[in-house]
Amino acid sequence: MKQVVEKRSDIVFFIKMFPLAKIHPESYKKSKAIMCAKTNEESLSLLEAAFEKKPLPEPSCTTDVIEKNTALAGSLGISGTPTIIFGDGSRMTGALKADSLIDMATGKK
Amino acid sequence: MRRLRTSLALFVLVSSLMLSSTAFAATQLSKEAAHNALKPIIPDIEVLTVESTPLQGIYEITLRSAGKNAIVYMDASGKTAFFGAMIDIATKTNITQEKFNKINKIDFSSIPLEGSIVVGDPKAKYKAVVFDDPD
Repeated sequence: MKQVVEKRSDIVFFIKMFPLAKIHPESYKKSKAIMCAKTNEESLSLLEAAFEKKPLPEPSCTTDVIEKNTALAGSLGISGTPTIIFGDGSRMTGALKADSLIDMATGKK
Repeated sequence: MRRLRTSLALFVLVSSLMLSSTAFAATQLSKEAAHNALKPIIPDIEVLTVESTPLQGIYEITLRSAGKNAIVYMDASGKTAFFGAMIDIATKTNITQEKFNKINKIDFSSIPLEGSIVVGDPKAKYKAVVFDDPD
């Protein structure tokens, strides 16, 4: 995603933490720790640390944002990660290369 | 006499053609037949489309139930149905998932953007929302 926004400044990603608690029992705590960070940049570094399998701090706040995201995912029929919803309402499940992401985000699929 | 034979021959030809097309129609699945076959297991079903699939004899039915769109597969007999992922082996694509995504397009403006980690300029023209698991 970072590659994409470096190439195209007219694309933005909003990442919602959606832990699949049944498959990954630790990911709920990690999601909370990430969202408890005080700034967007901090959240992003924590997320990157998680992807690199580095340990995360304990969640330092109470928040219901994970529950909200999970409810939202359910109402949209989303059950797998990563799932991307593009501006035109189309969706994609699974990892994508930067160029494919650019095409899909700008509707050139 | 010749005229009678020609029209008789024509009559036989046309009716045999009609018979064979009826035979084909009998093994196809109509929307009403799909509706009636699936109602016992999906009482509030609304059949949207019935299309053939690469698998001979198996039809893809898109339907609406409990406010959601779904896909089920069934043959023309209406006795056995299944939910599952149909895969195109040559292209390694999940045909069912792709169809599902197509019939379930989301109203992007209804997705709340708060509570997200932002990568990029929040005011950028092209927006995308990513549901991701940190693990």
